[in-house]
Amino acid sequence: MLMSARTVWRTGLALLLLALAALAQAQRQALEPELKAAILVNMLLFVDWPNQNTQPTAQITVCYLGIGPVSTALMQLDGKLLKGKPLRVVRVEASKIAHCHALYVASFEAASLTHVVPQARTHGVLLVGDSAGYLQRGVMLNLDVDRGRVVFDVDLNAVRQTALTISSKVLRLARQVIE
Amino acid sequence: MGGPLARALVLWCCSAPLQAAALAEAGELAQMSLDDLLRVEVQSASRYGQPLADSPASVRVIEQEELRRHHYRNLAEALSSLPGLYVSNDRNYSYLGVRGFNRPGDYNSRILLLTDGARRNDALYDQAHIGNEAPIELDWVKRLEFVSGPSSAVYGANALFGIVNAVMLDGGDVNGTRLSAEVGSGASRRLGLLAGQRMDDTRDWLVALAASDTRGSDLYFPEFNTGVDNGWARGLDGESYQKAYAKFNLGHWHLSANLSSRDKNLPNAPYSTVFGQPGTHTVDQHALIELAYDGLLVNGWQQQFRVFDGSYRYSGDYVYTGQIDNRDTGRANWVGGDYRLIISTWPMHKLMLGIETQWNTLVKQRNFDVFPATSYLDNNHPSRTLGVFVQDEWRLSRQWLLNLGLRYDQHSDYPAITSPRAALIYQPNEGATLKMMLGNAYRAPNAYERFYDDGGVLQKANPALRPERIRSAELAADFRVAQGGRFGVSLYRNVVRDMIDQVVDPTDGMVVFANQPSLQTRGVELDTEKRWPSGYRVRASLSRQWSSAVNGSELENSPQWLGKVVLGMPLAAGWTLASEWQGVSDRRSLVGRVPGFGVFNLTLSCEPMVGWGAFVLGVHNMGDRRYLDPASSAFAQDALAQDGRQFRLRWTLPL
Repeated sequence: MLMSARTVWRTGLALLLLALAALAQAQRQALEPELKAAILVNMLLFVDWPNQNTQPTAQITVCYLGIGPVSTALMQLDGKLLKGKPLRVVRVEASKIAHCHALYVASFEAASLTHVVPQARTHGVLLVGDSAGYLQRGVMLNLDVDRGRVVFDVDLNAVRQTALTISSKVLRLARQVIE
Repeated sequence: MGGPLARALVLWCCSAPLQAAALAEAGELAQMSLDDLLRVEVQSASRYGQPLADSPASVRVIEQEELRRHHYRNLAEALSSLPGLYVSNDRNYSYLGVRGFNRPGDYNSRILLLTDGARRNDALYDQAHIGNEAPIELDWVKRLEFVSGPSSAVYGANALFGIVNAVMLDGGDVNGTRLSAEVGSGASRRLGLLAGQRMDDTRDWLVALAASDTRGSDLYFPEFNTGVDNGWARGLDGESYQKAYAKFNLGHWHLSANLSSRDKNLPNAPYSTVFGQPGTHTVDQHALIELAYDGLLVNGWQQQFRVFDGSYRYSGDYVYTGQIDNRDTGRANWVGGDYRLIISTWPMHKLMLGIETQWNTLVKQRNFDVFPATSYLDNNHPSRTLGVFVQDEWRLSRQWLLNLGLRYDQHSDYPAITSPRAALIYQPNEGATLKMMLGNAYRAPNAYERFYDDGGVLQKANPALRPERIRSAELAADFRVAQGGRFGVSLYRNVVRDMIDQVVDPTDGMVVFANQPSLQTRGVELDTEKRWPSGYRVRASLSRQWSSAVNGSELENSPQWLGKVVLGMPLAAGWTLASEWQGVSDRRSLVGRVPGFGVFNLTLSCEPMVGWGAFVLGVHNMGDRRYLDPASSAFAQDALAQDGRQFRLRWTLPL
């Protein structure tokens, strides 16, 4: 079947546009807080909490202490379904974190780490941060930006003390796993 | 309309919002897999926030943790740990050498110093102050970046050899108050106060104060071993400074202010002053107030602008035989602003348009004898600059990025100049980046170089000076190796035409700035770094460089080899050991040669202990190695000895 010049031109342009669209999507960008929030929440798919823990099992609760860019981005994810359970994003006091599955601690909340770390160990709360040096201060999973991508480090010792289990998939994707 | 085009257009339009900003929404991110999320690029708001791999130049960064662990005292000490950089000191100022260029007598006018992106070179001498004379303390810096190569295409004048950008702390990085006290060799004392708080999502404040006083060591200068002092300058190396910095962030607005004053006694009898007598000293004072706006990327558009008002004061007293006090002063005031618009609505392109202007309202130089009052120089040469620039970051494909920049500059005293830049960046995979960079940059002569004249004693003016230009080419490769490791290699060539250099006029023996014929340097830099999860880190570099003037001879103060090793290792109980070794090969000086040397520094620091604070003990030049830096023509000495072993102890207490 012979195609007219016009059809050839149209098909060519269409292919070009599709190719451009595909490329554009490949080069996807996002704002740092949104990206960190999405990664934090996604990570919860690969964490198991022991059954005897204090967290309600009907939902997955992600907590934060104060308003900041990442916690604002987390709030937007409230209601999302994770393993069939609704995600609840709630603000808590540093002394009342027992019902949280995960707690995000911002860089400006370093002072609360001394309250939060022992409780998190007792109640099995996954502590997540995005600040330099947090891993050494008891945070279990620390996000960072390296060469324009979000990366994360895991302190496996701290995680084991809480009886939480993290899937090896997450560990494989980590930049650094401290054991 | 039926056909394939219509279908493609529908698809195109549906995905348009995504492509438009190339920015993913939170909801959309939530649907992505973890693997994919880790591949998404971070879109940062700041001018400097672009990923290092994508930047059209070689960029080196020292993070806060490392700055603290090594207890670098000032920008100069930290910068000299980076590949290809070396610092000379004449006991007044610190001079940064970049890839073989560090002309004796030049005041860092080919380096652009920025704090949070704001220009800090003064409007009279174009100086980038990096020693204790710098307007800021390293204690207030969160991240120190050095961008090699000419960047005039975006930053305008002075960005010939490189840009030093100090990213300052925000209140949220401190969240509290820290008091620090330091004592050290040469009876030095320093007190620092740092306070800041992130109040909520939008408001953040920081205040920083520092004051230091040093008696200095007694120094021996064999060149002056003739008179009553036998070559000893006793108690003449003192220095004191006071600095203040404040910053307030309100949403996208940032207001900052900075004041500094440094007084340095000069023990080495510059400009034929009397040796061994007190009274010869210089005072350097900086002031800057700046208001900046850093907008969010909305629908692919982002705006940034700033307005600033700056001032610099210099005063030097030079004591001559017969108790004559010759005073040299410089005063500069300037106001200006810049505006940048970043447009990323166009798929594959990120366009930056900008305009920058500065009015140097006062550029005054004076030279006079205090008593009997005699004036030798009193002039004021205000000037005005305007620059317009455009940069396009063109994502050719997933692997290829093309960065094109063009800048047009007007100076009230010179014809307009256009500076282009191009960089092609290839990233075949996550672990490798190759960059090919070509760029031009320029610098107009400053008022000091053109108009300074000390009344026919040592130095004369040259109002006919022309701007100098540099053309640079660089090929750089960067590889990630194993976990936390990287290796880089860079080849470069810099050619400077009409270089403004201090020379002696053979007809009258006077020092004068003149345009020189073409000079060039070329070289290779290797550097590697690795971090281990246990906290160990190492960074090392080796540079080989060849420089030649038009007659084929090597340039002064241009070492062929530079080597550095920087180490950090955690010890027991929260203590960390940081050490570094820096080696510089022999260099030509104005008259002869200065031998090469190696210097070893060691720092021991601890984590803050409850109720006790944190301690840092630093030993600089541990081996007490005697080494020299080439001196400028202001000195009778051809080279000046540098500090021997120095101890510093700092105590920081959170309040």
